[in-house]
Amino acid sequence: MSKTITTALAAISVVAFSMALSFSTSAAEPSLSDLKNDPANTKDVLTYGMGWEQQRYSPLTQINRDNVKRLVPVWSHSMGDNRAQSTQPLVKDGIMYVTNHNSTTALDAVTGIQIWKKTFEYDPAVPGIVCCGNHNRGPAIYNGRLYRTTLDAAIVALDLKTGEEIWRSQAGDFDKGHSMTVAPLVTDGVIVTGISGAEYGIRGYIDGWNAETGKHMWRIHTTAAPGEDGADTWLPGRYEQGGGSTWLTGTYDPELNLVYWGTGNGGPWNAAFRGGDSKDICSVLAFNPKTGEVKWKYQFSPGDPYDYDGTSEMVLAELKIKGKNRKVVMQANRNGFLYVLDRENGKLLAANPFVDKITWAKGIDLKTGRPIDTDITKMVRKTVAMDEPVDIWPSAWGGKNWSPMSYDPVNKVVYANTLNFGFPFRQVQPEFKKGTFYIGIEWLGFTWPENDERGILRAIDPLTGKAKWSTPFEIPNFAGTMNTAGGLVFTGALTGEFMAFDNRDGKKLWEHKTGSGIISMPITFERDGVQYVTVVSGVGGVYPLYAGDERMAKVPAGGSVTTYALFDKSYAKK
Amino acid sequence: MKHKYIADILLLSFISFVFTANASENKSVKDENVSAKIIESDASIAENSVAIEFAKKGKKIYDSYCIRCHGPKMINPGTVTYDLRRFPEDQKTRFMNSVAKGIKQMPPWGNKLSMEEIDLIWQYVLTDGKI
Repeated sequence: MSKTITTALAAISVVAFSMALSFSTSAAEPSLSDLKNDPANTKDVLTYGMGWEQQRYSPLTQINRDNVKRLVPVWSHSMGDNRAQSTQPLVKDGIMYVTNHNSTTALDAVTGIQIWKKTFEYDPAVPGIVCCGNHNRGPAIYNGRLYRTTLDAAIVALDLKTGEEIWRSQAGDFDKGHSMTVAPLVTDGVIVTGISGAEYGIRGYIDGWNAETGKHMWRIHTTAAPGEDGADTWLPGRYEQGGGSTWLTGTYDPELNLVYWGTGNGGPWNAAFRGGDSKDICSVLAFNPKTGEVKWKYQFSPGDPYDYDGTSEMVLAELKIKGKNRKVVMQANRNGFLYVLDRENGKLLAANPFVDKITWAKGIDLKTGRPIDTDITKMVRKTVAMDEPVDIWPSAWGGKNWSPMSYDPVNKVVYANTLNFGFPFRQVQPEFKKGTFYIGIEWLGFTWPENDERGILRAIDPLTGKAKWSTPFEIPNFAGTMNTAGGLVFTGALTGEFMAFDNRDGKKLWEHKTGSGIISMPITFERDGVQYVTVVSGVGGVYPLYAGDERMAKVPAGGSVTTYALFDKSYAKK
Repeated sequence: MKHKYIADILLLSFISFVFTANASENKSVKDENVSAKIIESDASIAENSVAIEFAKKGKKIYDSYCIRCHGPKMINPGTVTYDLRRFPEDQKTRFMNSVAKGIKQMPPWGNKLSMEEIDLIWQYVLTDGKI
């Protein structure tokens, strides 16, 4: 009898203690170690990329290739907005956080019921200086706060519980062409952000902010001024409007204390006008996030003649190379080559084509790290104003655009939505006029492939670039991929289908059509024993705007979030 | 309906051209009204080519300011942004005002473009991007 009472009392005190503990620590969550453990934590999605490594891989197996046909929508929530929804939601303790260009929303992750929503207003002139639509790629969360960027180039910290603004810091001036869409990166006490605007004559940079106060801590410029390393790779004065935007989130290795952040295209696109390699555009910079000190850097596309931004995801992994495990950073670059570098020192380990047609370079010299130019590229590099157009593959949108690939740590492959078309254009004398496209080329559309397979979802061996399988699409995909231990690869179509593929052969196993086109990044998490998958729908971005594809007229705009679970699992909880 | 064929008509028939230009005239836009100037004089093959020259100038402005939302050669699915090929050719005032002051998601361009420049863009819009 007394034993029972003692046990009960003990149980109560344990519960009370854990309640007190959770109460006292909740304001400081998620902590830095929570963020670090994000890939293994299947209950939450705390970081952009589902982990600082941005592998976008989940060990969850409840939804798998044998039962994915039973995947059904559990709830859907309107974003109340018709612009591009290219975001990745986060989930913590059963609450989902979703952003777009003018709002931040907290939802119950299981029911979809809205908890809070905060909207932003900005000067109506702001959308006049964004190249590719009104985007936001997602929030970051840390220590009871949500961090996000705004289209008018600010970073803001919101209270995670209420959405109230805690601080706001201006990172740029939209009147000078700066804008921000990037999801911030949280490191130890420092929030790191990039900037957009390389089509509007900006000089790019990466910033560090004090997470607590919003105070600016450091800035790395991405074009070299006189006296800086690489200054001689610019014609005089050209670095000032030289581009090198930093519009996608970098990765973080806390052991090496290095952030890997990609830099964007040159400004103007016209490489001959800038002269030389134009350092450090189209590069990866590895830096200490406390100080902004750059430890090493590597330039993928010296001089960047073709708008080959190097901003895409810098995926971190361990790969066995010549019998030895190496810590690598890898990127499927816009220029059509998949790069693998030693992330401790920046040594180039592999650089192979991951698309079928590349006309700008014959290959990458592993010794020098430089591309081997084709005759066309040699001519383009030295001709400011061209009489005749040239046709370059991959196009300015790259062999893969911004939409992130995912890495499968079991099978050691990446799953990427690749692009298969060329780019006819002519370089013309650039003229800078504030607030207008400053690219110095005449845009002549695209060269589509004869078989009209404009996009190909591929499983790629990062060390060889070779495809293990290829699944083609007439309208290319611009959504990110996610893969799971359930043997599935998820991605979305511009026509709205959210799809799951068998990771062994790329066979489509399931799809569900959402209300609009998908250009976002799917996530998965579990709650009370149920695995959920979430995707944001809402068409936009470069393809509908520039491709001239009349089929897109059948895809209405309209942002929404949809969450899925297996039929029986989802309804068992109701 | 005839809107779709304006570019072809421009190339083939100056009579149709005059008709089209008349339709697009609007007295309420007083600044250097290029199309108004054209229709004041007698139609001729020469003026037809003048109109194309204006439209070409308009295309150049379009390519710096408008292309990133309204698409190369104006080809646009009309879902996220407006398909300018659908713009009614008899509503020039509405066009000029929308561009100058901004409308819905489109920012105002009046502080960056002169009315002459917006007028040149209008000349290009009348071709459905087919020059």
